[in-house]
Amino acid sequence: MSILSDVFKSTKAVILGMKRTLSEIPREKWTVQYPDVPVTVQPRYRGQHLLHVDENGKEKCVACYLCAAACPSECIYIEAQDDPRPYEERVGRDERYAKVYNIDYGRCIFCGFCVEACPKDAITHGYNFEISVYNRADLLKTKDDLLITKQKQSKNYRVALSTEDVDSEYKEVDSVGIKFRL
Amino acid sequence: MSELIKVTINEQDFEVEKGARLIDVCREKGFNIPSFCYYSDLALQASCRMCLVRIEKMPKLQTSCTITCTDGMIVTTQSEEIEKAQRAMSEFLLANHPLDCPVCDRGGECELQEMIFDWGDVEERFTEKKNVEPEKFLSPIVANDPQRCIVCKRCTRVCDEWMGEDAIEAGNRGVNTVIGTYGGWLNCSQCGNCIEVCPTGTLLDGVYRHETRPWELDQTITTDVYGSDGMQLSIGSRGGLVHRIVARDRYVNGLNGEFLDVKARFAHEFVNHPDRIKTPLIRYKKGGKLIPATWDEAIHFVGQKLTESGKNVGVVASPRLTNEAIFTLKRFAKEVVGTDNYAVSDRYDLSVFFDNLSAPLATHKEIRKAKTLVLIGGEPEEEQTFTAKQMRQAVRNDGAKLIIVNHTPIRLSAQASQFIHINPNSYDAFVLALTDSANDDANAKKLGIETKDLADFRQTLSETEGDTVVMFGGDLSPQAQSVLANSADAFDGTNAKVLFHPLPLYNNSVGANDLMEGKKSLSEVLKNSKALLIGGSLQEADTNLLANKDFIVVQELFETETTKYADVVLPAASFAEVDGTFTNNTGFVQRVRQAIEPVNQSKADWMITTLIAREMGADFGYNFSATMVFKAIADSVSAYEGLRYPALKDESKPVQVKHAISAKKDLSKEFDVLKSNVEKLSDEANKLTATPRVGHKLHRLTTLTSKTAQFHLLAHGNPKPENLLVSPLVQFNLDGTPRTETADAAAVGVTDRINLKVEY
Amino acid sequence: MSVAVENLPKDVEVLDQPLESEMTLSMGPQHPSTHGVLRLDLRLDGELVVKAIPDIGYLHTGMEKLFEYKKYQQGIVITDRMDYLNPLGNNLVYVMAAEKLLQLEIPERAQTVRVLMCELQRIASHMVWLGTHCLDIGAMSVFFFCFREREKILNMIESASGGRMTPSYFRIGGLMMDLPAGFESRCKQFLDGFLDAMNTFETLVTGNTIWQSRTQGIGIISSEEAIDWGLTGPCLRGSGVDLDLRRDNPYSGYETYDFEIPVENDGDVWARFKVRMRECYESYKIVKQALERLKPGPIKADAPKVVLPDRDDMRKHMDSLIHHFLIVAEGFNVPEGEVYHAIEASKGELGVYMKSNGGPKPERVHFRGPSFVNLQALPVMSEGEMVADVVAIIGSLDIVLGEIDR
Repeated sequence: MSILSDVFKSTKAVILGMKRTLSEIPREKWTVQYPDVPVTVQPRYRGQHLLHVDENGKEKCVACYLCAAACPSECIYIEAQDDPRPYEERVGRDERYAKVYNIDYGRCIFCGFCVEACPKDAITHGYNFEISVYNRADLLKTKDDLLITKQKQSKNYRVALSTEDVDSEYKEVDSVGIKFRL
Repeated sequence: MSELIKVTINEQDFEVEKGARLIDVCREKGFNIPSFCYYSDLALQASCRMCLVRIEKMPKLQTSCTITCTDGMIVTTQSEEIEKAQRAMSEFLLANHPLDCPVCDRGGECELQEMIFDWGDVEERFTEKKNVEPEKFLSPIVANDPQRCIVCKRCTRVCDEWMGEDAIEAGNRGVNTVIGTYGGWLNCSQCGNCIEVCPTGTLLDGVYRHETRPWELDQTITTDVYGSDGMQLSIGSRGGLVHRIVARDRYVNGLNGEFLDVKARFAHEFVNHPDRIKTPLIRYKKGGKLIPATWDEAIHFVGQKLTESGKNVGVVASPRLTNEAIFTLKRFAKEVVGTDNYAVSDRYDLSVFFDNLSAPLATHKEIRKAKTLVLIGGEPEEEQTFTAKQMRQAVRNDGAKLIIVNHTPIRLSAQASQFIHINPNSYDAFVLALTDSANDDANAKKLGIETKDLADFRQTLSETEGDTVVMFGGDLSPQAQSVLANSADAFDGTNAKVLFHPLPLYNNSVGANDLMEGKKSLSEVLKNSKALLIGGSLQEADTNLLANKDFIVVQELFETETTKYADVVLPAASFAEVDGTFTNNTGFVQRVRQAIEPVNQSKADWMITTLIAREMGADFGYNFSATMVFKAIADSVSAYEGLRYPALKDESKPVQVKHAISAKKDLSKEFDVLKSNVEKLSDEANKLTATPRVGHKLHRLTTLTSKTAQFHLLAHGNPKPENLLVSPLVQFNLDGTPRTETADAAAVGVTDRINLKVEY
Repeated sequence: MSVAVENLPKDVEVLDQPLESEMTLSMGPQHPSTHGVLRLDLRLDGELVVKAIPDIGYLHTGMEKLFEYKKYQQGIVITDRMDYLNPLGNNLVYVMAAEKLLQLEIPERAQTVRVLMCELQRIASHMVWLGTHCLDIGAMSVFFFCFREREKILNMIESASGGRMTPSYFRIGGLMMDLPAGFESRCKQFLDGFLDAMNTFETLVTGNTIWQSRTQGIGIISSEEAIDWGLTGPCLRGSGVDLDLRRDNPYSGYETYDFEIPVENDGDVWARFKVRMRECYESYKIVKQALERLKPGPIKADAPKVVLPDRDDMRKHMDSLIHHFLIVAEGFNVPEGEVYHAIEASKGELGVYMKSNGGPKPERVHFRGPSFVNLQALPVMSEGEMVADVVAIIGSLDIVLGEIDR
């Protein structure tokens, strides 16, 4: 008797479960087909850093070392230099600028403390998250890799609107036309 | 010990010494009192009004830096009233301070920042535009941002009291007060002490301009490599680069306080200079080129050649080297070669002085406290700057009598109570006159002075109530030195203590003399030997003696006159890269510490010598450790007996080596030589009357100082550039001529920088 | 079976155990159901577990030592990496301990946001537990549904802090930033769908006979034993002990929220499962209340010497710039003293002991990790059970090796 009831109950559980599972099939998909479809990141997402420039293309960074001091993983290396030239010829906005600005992405933990520390709004987190490389040494990014004017942004992400809600995020992906791709 | 009085601070009773300054007492007892302008070694200013305290029975808040404690004084250091006053003061100080922290080199060790963090109010009520003044240069070395100034006048007081130069002064009055210079340009000795004491970023180091941050630097306490005063300083290094040298008391607390001179502070660029010898170099054929080699090759080659030369090897040590290096060189001569042919390449020999020393050496503290200072020859303000500073302060602050005997009116003579202006080369006559009062007339004639001068001199000495310090420079003949050293009794006053203070030229002249016991003169060694092992270059004048030697090995940092004769040049490490000790002119043996790894392939001098010795089959038992070298020194040199590195750890308590004090000796032989020398002097001589230019020796370009670009401008008359806003280095060639190709850079207008700053 | 061993030093003893009665099975550290790099040394008699010895330390990173070399503010990022499924809880306990030493008063909005985020994080943590627990026992699809719910929460956390698994959202003295615009509506939308998702889980798991028979009566630990072994959190409440720090030692204003503490008496895997499921509903209730309470206000404490000044002020005022500069460059000094602070994390009592010597870096930081303590009870629970049940028991303990090894 107990065996029969066991079999019955188990079958019922399986049927109920399968019903729930199968009912998902016609519904919209949550999986993002990365990298065919860009991933949506939030506006505050902390990706690879960007070094900013002012409206005349001069670097905002004055090499004050606060980002390096705030960094918990000691991944920022700076060498400052004096630039006595007139503003038009200078590299940076001020007469002090970073000759070397390296971030070691082998160490960086993307905590955002450097951004918080920067008094000149010169460094922010960008959205690039694809920083894997074949060679560990390539994880060391120099100023040329980080400057907003020189950094190549990946096509594999889109930034969500700040007011966008969770569900519409995925609807956006759906509208691209991969609704029923499995 | 003076009388004790009772003072009540914040309802706690303390017994303090009478005459103590209130701010010092409060800080000592653990009550934190903020201040900007107060500096214990300088005259009082009371301009910052941060150190306010409430003293009972006084109507207003009082500045504690100007109050001396009196019996029964009741002091409150913390109350709402005081804090309100302090916060208001700090608000005023910031009212016109630019938002420069990220750019300013002082950020991170700025006293203004620290005070504001502790006493400032985050509510800032001043929203008016700030007066904008651009950052400018006051000399190739001193950068100045007048807007950051809080007018504490530490810099002007330092310049006046320490240096006696008055090069930097406060101009205008009231809110318009600015720190300025005469003619907008600093033509002083460029000591940089104004930079050191500045609590804000107003005066900044032009050599370490916009380089890094204090928290990024590793601070290594070590000893100055230029002067014989043995000033303690802190090397700020980062990643194998020496960035700056400071003596700031937050990093180092040596005998010199925060005092350094232009060479000690700024001439450190040589350490990482690209001209440093990178690998061992071998000249395989006489007259050929120096060809880079490996260490193994070079050491093997040297070992082979020196072994071939047998006993004809001479050893010469430079007084710039560490005690360890000099001692190892001596051991090399004694134990490996088995010869007495070793010498020190110093400008003048101190051994006769130490052999006849009849009174102890004076420390710098004793010079500061001395009542009578006798300076015979020498020019300490150019060569022994810290000694000069102590002398100046002793005269200025404590009323000591300064008697200067010199053939030129050196700058210090302005402060002397008696300046005995003698004929050139007549120092022997003065020493003779000292010990032999019978022939005053004759001696005075030879000296070109009045007989009364000598009588006055003797009278001053006999009236002295306190210590007498006798200093002498290198102009004295060896006989005169020995007579002077043995004549302590000639200076005896009523209850005076007599102390000697030699003024050698090099950082380790005294140490070299101590360790090279039984050394011969340099010319003798060069004459006697066919092969030479030279640690550090010789004086340029001596290098011609090196011609026609079989084999010469030189341990050096740079290619010099000496290396031109060398067959093998071995790259030595500079003072910033080695562990060791220097002995200064007061007999203090002080540590030299390794700040960075040896650059390129260089090695410490003692290690190179040890390697050569090992190649030649001798083991000194050092085990490649400087500690062991010093232990060997302590074991074999009596003056250094029992010393070890741990005993030298604390730079604030330097250890004096025990130089033997000899009793009165019979020096009739030396007297005879002196007398004959003096007799040879002509009575008629032209006195030199021109006061030497400031910095005529300090700014001289040498192998080491010439590596700092700013020194070239200083040596070429420190020209004032067209545009003070732009670094003179950009506007001048290194020979001091204006640079034409950067005329555009020099033409950067004031407006450009002002526009930039208004943005904030 | 004995093996002839030759040429061994004399003092080496060779243990020669007969296979007939007992065998040793090394489970992990790569076994998928040990939730990370846990290795279990199982002594088996047939299929019965005679003895289970957890072997930990494969993930040891020296975190507690690392704290001593970081300024207080920098330590926050290390806590993220301990219990990586509940990083906000770790952030919270660390910053609260420092705030206790500094005696800071946190503004109400910051408190509410902290509660809100922590409860969301608790749900996310329980979702991972449920998903992996089911996966261990054999139910595949629950895993996907759970991770979908977690994904929504992670997106919300990302929108607030910028990080998904390592948010570092809380700061000593408040929050890193205020919540982004639209966060509340997003959160409401999530809550609307959440009960539906819970329904799914109840259908798929709770009501499932197979699940019940795999969990009921397995890994029993009595309330006395649970207390003796120091269990906390759902593991303790599953044994009938009614203890929850949110109610018994409230922090961040938990005392003002209306919620229940679920308790089950059986002490088996099933009881622990049910406690966690019911906790999800309670967290849901708390989030809802917190959302209602969110009112505009400051998010950082009024402590200019600890909290970074407002960025606009920093650009305009010298005072603020100096404070910003020094707080970033040198950190802030924390008064001398030591403190223990504990919160109810998703896995139990997460406590931090912090000792300050008055400087800008802590002298010692020690964590009382719930996973670490709970894991101790694994041998007690699993002895006498089948090998297959050990997997269920590990799942019910809800351990995270990042926190155990630290």
